[in-house]
Amino acid sequence: MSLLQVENLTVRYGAIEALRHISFSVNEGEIVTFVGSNGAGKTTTMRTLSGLVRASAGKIRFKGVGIDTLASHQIVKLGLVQSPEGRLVFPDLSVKENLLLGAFARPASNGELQHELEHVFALFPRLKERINQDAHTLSGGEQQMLAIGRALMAKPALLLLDEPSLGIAPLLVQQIFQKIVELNKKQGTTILLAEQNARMALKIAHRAYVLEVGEIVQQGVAADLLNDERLQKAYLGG
Amino acid sequence: MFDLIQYLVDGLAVGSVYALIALGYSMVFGVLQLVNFAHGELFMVGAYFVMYAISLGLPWPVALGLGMCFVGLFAVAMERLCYKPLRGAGKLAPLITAVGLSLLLQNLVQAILGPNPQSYPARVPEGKLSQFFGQYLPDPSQLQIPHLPDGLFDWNDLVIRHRDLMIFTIAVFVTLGLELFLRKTRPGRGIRALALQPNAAKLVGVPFDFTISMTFFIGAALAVVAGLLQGMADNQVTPYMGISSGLKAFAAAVLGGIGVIPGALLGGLVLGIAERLLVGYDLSTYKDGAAFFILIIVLLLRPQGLLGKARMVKV
Repeated sequence: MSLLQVENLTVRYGAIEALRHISFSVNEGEIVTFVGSNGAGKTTTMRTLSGLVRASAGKIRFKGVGIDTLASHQIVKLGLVQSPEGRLVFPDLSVKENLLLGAFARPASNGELQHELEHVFALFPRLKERINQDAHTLSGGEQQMLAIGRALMAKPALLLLDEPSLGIAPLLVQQIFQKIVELNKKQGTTILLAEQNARMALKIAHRAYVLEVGEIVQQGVAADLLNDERLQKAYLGG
Repeated sequence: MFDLIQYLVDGLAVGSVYALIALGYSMVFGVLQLVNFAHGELFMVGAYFVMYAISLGLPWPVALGLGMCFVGLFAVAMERLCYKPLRGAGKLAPLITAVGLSLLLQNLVQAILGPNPQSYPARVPEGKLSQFFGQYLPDPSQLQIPHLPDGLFDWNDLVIRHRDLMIFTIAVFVTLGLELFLRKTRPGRGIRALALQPNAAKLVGVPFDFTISMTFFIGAALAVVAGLLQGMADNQVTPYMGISSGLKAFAAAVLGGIGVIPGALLGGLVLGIAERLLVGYDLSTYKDGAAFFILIIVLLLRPQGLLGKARMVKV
């Protein structure tokens, strides 16, 4: 059984259907990616999974539990944790306070928290250098690391990453994507990645879904899609 | 010159009551960006509740505790029934609702308990109500009515009344306690996270509805403390005390930087002192306008309030 199983998900904003009957799944240990242009419905999918937006139809099962009616904090408790689009760090709090808030849903002893912090710092040493700095003073790339680190503090069984490359210098994007692979390979973290930068995403993912105006138009093994002619024309600039 | 110092000291007590009410305005605004204009009425209802509870013969700490719980839960119910259904309906609808609630509560209390000021020991107004409840009110001579201390510190003619000092001390400790709660405890951190970045707070697992309810509860409970202090200091409560003190407390919250806890205290004290200064220098006609005049001036120079932070939003 898949870790995450979504069937016929439909989301409406007023009269607009942002998602139309999409079905997909994520298996344990995978990196799965959603690619598609702006407005295709990637962020809506992510927000619906986390309970920030309500589905108007369809089923979402995570670890076999129906989560489409749960509140956000209950979903986080189950281990489905998101690093959102635009990063949404807590601006006036320090890097450390931001990370500690990441563990909000999971009451832990100080020792455990310290251990988790070290773990995040091992992945993103830059955050350790900035540990006492307010989050709003960080660069875009550093804020992205912080957003991912904050999500990791919740010990996710499934990590949702929404547009981690958005507004970040290309060199840092490379670095962050390497870290995503590292997380998946070394710690076996399952990852669902929504990304406009289709080439980067397809390179690191196992499987992929292509979203176009709220519908899944293509799906398959990421490496195959990378060589797909139609996809190359539409998203990969070649 | 000497008078000036005296007025400053006198203003602290007045300002402390504003500050205690302002904390609730500030917290609720912090998490919901909602100006809960009915918050002043919670202060008024709290003042009545505690006065009647004491007049029924309850010791004042019990009366205060009951009042904080009752008005706190009342505020939670108000949020659930009146504000929650309007989430996502823009900012105007909840604002108008708040004004409506304020008027409703004020008129309800006036209709039930009468428009005249009540003082210790409180009486149930003549009529059907008194037939029901009048018999339960104990003999006034048996009551232990709480008093603020009467003493004075007299230091080279600078007179500080003990009661003013006590009210000021309570306000300072409550503000410190609240700030500590928000920084050091888990539920407190949840409130702060929600105020800073609501969606991120939800994504780290802060329970949204529960945290909002808790914010309303705490704000209302603090307003009841203010209600008791004001009721004791003036030995009177009226159905209109909420609207006058409430509006000034709102001005105090904005003046100090709405959403910033120490700002509410500072704002309250500044307004209290300003009022006393005007009264002291024979300008008491303008007393009630002072709060808003200062507010306008400060907002022109520092739109974020005295302690508020102005920050560019990075996108």
